[in-house]
Amino acid sequence: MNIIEVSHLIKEYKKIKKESGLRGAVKNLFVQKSETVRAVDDISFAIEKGNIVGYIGPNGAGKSTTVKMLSGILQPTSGEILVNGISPQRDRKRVVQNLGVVFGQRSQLNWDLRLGETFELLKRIYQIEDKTYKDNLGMLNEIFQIDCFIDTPVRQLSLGQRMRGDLVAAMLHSPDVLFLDEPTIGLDVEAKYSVRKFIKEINQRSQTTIILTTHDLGDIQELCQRVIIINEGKIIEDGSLDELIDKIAPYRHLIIDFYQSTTVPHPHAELISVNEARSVYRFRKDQITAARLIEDISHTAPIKEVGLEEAKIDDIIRTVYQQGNVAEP
Amino acid sequence: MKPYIFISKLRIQTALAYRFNVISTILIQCLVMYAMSCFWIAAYNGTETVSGVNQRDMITYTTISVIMGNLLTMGVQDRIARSVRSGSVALDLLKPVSIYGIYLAEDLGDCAAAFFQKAIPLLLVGTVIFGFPAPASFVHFLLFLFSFAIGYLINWILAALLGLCAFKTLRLGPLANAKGFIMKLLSGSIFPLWFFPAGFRRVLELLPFMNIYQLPLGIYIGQYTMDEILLRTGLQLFWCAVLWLLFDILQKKMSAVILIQGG
Repeated sequence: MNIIEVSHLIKEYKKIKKESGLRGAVKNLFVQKSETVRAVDDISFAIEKGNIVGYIGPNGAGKSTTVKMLSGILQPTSGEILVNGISPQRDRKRVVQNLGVVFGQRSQLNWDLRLGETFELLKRIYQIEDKTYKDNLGMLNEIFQIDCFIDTPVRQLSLGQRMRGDLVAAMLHSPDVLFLDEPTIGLDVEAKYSVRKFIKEINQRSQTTIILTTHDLGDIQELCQRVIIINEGKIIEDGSLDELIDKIAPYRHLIIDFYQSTTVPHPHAELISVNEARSVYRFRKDQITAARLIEDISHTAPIKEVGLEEAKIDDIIRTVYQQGNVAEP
Repeated sequence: MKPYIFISKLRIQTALAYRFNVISTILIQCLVMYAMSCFWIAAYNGTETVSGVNQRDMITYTTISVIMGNLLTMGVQDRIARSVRSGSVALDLLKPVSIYGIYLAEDLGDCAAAFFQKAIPLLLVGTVIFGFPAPASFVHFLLFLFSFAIGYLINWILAALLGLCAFKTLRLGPLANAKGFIMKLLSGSIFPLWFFPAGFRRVLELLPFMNIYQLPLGIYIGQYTMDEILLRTGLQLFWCAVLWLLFDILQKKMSAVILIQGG
């Protein structure tokens, strides 16, 4: 069952062109030139219930704009969105009742209040039953250990604590859908780890559908069954991470240390560097297996050490971004 | 209703935490009250009545006006402008409640806090210096309360209307200043409208501003006959409804063109 359906979504806005300098400033007072920018350009996708989907793209690609339209804050120029069968544009309140959203760069927690008071407020805003509220808070606390700072004023929390508070706040009303906009931004390794663990647990325990936008590809690798890559407002890739890797970077690197300097070519692998006793081969996964390659080579020269390198996810994503740029004239 | 009441409660709680702010406001407001009263004493200079109002009533008018000024402090216009500018309006829109309901609840919470922190101390100080500013009668006092409540709503809607401009302009700056100035002058908060020339006064009485200060205060000191009170309260309710409709239409229009700043 598709919990989110998006078809032919377009968002345009007018950008006023300002001329620079004093002369430009005076000119701007009288004539304003504006141009129409397409932040989101004919996007369609559907997301199944219980999935974690990574929604990634370079800065300014239109990720946040899409998320904002999905949550009913922004009106699309054209196109249709359905979340749980309801259009967020027509019935914002009903959609957000079933939605949790966390913006990594923005906190929904009130600076002047203790963390627990913000939760109390949310309990009333979403009209959560006493029992459900207690159960949810208990479960979230089990994953996240927020008990130790629940009575601290929000302004005194560390970034990691604040982010944990924000995630709990977004999950209190047990929403079916959770949008996370860069939830690990600026966090240290430990906090990042615990946020990822939280996302995984939430997804497994309550079958929450999660859309995650991030620049941290570690998040994607660990969490997402599916990635949608967007650049300049258009979807350029949509599929599982493995598929993407096979498509963009179907080759691996095999590093072999021999006992002495030697050069051993192989018909199915390209020898990309030879440095004294170390040789690096590049081969396609679908042409030959690493085991076979090692075996073949060891017939010619004795091997001391072997290392295997997967294509790096960062490189793959960068390749995809660049392809997107080339396609645009 | 529950979330809104809880928001008001939290606002009162927060306001009570800032003590320095309260003390400095009271000191300044006492000074304003004192200066204004001295001004009226000097202006009357022993004259019995001016436009049917005697000196005692005028000092009552001023004292209550200063107290009302502290209760009628509206956060909504800056709140909208700030949220739009910083983009945090997005977070408000993500809740299954009306954002303007939240803003109103916040202002009402502030008003309740100001009642205990500012209105009561100012009333005490005023009583000590000039004697208790008594209403014309108990009935007049009840009518004053009703009129004040409607005036509060009108004032709030006007502030919210100005706040909506922020969706287009991002900042209010001079607009907010101009509104503050016009309000002070035309609402009767400093000078009652009966001191203005007849023609000008008639124009002002048709505008919504006088319903915020002048009408409740006039009722309080017994300046109006019962018939006049009924008529003017009707007009006040009419203005409140018209402004509310205007606000509702504009607010819907604005939500269609809303732009979220940053990220």
